[in-house]
Amino acid sequence: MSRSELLRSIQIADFALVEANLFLDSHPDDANALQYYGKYKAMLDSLTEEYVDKYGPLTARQYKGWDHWKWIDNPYPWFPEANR
Amino acid sequence: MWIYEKKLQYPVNIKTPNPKLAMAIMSQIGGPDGELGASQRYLNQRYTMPDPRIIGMLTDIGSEELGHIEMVSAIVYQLTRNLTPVQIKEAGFDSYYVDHTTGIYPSSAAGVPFSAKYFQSKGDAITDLFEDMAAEQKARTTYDNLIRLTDDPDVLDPLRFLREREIVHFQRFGESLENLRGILNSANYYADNPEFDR
Repeated sequence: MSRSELLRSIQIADFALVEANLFLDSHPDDANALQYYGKYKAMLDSLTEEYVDKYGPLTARQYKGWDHWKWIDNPYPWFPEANR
Repeated sequence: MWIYEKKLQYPVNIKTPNPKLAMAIMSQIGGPDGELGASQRYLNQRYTMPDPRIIGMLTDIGSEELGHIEMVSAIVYQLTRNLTPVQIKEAGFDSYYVDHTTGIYPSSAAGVPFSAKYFQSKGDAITDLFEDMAAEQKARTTYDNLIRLTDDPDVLDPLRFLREREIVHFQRFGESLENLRGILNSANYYADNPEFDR
């Protein structure tokens, strides 16, 4: 996947987690919501790992021993080219 | 504490600048019903809220609102790129430009700077949750008003996403109010301040 395709997939999985997170705040024992959260968390984790390895970190703490501080490399999210 | 993620919650990719529209959309950053006020309302109300489920809701929705400030800022930024002085004058953007150039400064559509007067943290759980539900509806109305002002699909797409979030947050705060009522002492029939009076 290209950087933008992979980022879009991450945004989609992340959004599923945001939605389930808010729902679980008011329904903390809902089995379906917990299962849904677990499913999308696994998806997000694997997509994020692929993104970090290929394109660099989305949070500074995803540093993986590189000899360059990649945190500043990718376009900042408000630039149009970060969203294409 | 918070950790920054280098991505928008939802993509913003606008091809055509429109500084006049940017000035209107600016209200959803620093206006009376904007995202900055929303984030500060919820994050400040958290501390004395008497129910861990509702503290979680205020924390998580308040944090999401920080991401919405960034999305709306991205819209305003992309609508005001590469402008000529002629475009700035013709669009009526000169009143903003003279003080901020094209920098993002949280203010209302009419240019009034952001103020903490736009929100309340009352220290009363029932009062605050009603304020929060009203705030989500006011922000939804503002997005409706903005959506009527443009036919640019690049701008409509993220505005519609943000409008939908107001509806979801309203629903979640409604559930929080029900959860709160569920833990009130049944003798507290008129829901006197459950944060303070216990």
